[in-house]
Amino acid sequence: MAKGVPIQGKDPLGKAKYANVTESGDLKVQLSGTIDSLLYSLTGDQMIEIAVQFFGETVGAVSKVNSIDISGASEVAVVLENKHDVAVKVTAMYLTREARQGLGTGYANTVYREDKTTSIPAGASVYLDKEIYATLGKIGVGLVLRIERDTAPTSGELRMLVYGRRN
Amino acid sequence: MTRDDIRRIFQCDDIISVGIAMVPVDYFLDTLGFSLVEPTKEAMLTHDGGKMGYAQFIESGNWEVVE
Repeated sequence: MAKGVPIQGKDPLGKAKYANVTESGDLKVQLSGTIDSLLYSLTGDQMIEIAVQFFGETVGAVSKVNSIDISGASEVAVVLENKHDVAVKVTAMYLTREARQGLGTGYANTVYREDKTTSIPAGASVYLDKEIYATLGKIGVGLVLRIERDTAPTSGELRMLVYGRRN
Repeated sequence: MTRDDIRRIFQCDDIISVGIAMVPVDYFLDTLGFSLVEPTKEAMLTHDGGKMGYAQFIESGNWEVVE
């Protein structure tokens, strides 16, 4: 059997070490870093009709919406694009006990709730991360946002993009 | 209100920041209709109507440069 050329590397202390090779001769490597990916996107124009809406897998009343599956993400970021002709505001975030789960009667399925208001003027976008909403840095499996407006829009929509980071 | 007015009054070139929210200047002027408004604080506040969310931003402008 022909011998290959041994591959050496250095450990963190600078000491030379042979690289790790599998029985079939494949070189073992370990990757480090993070992967950010789009977990979910949703566009809704329901703010035109109703002042308070919950944004999860769908848009609607509290009893109608299931949470977005964010399981496996160590951090989450949410981008909201307000294409309405009036301002809207994020007023709360919720983490549910299970992914794709409703908040439940009396919010029974909610394991974490953060009441905090972020205004989004007409036509503007916001990038929300754990520095702004602690919820987005917590270990959780299901995410729901509550969004409100003071004045009814005459047109437009709200787009939500949810990104997750996996280590 | 023109891009030059925005630059002079609010020191913004391409993006307007309102807290953590951002909107392109072109969208602000053209789509939201501020390009049709006189470059005065009162006219802009009237156009905003207390519903578009730009009142605080408008108030923050340096209006002495035009008025």
